[in-house]
Amino acid sequence: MRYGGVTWRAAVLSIAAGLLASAASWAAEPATRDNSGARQKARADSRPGAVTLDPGQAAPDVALSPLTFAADANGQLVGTIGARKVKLSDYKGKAPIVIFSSSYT
Amino acid sequence: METLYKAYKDKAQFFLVYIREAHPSPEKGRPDEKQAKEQLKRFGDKGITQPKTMDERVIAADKCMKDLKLTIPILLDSIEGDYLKAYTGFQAGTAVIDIDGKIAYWTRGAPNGAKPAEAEAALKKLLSADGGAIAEKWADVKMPSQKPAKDDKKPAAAQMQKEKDK
Repeated sequence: MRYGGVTWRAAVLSIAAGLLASAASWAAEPATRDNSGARQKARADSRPGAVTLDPGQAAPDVALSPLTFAADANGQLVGTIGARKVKLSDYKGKAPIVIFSSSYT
Repeated sequence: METLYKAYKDKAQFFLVYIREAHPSPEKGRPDEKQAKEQLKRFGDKGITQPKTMDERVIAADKCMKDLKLTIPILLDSIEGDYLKAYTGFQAGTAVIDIDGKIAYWTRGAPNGAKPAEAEAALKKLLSADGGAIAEKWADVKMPSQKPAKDDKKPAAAQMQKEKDK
């Protein structure tokens, strides 16, 4: 069937060619995506208050309360704030420290 | 993170520093229906709002630890964010500190901020560089217990529940 000189077959072929071109362009994009990651990192680094720590520099010392547990009236363990703060510098000369920081959400 | 902790807990001190919520549940007066629904689905109850006191942070950390069955020692960042300000500025992250108190590995970023494989590689390097020295020294160092000391505060969650019941 012809509509204004364009056949259905020609239309389908044209769409397929367009899709192929898009796929080819997407496949060639990884480098751009990597750059986007680098851009994201650069943006994070330049954010006000952002801290960057380099290997070899002295680790900042902070003193934090540990999460400890105590049994409630029903005998269930519930979180409490430990009385003695943990100071990271207390481990100097004793052991390496691995710290993950995160929240639940 | 938990796997790494279990594998190396006798050779290094591990901590999970519980920082401010990255994506807290919407609070009263600031409704965001879509986010609220997602949070309720994920966390149940009233979701997890941004803690304003250390007691509220304890409740969030307690829930996180129990839900995810974590055994890694947890430190609570202050409400002012002392750790966050010193170590990343605003995001989650990972740091490995050598025995001399120097940064051996550091990364920042969420949701892929915790990079256990990279942290493990850095730790392995540290442990192999010092031979058995670290392990030997570490054997004499007492791990900070997660059991409460006598002078620890009353359980925050229980205390808040009591106040609610009143």
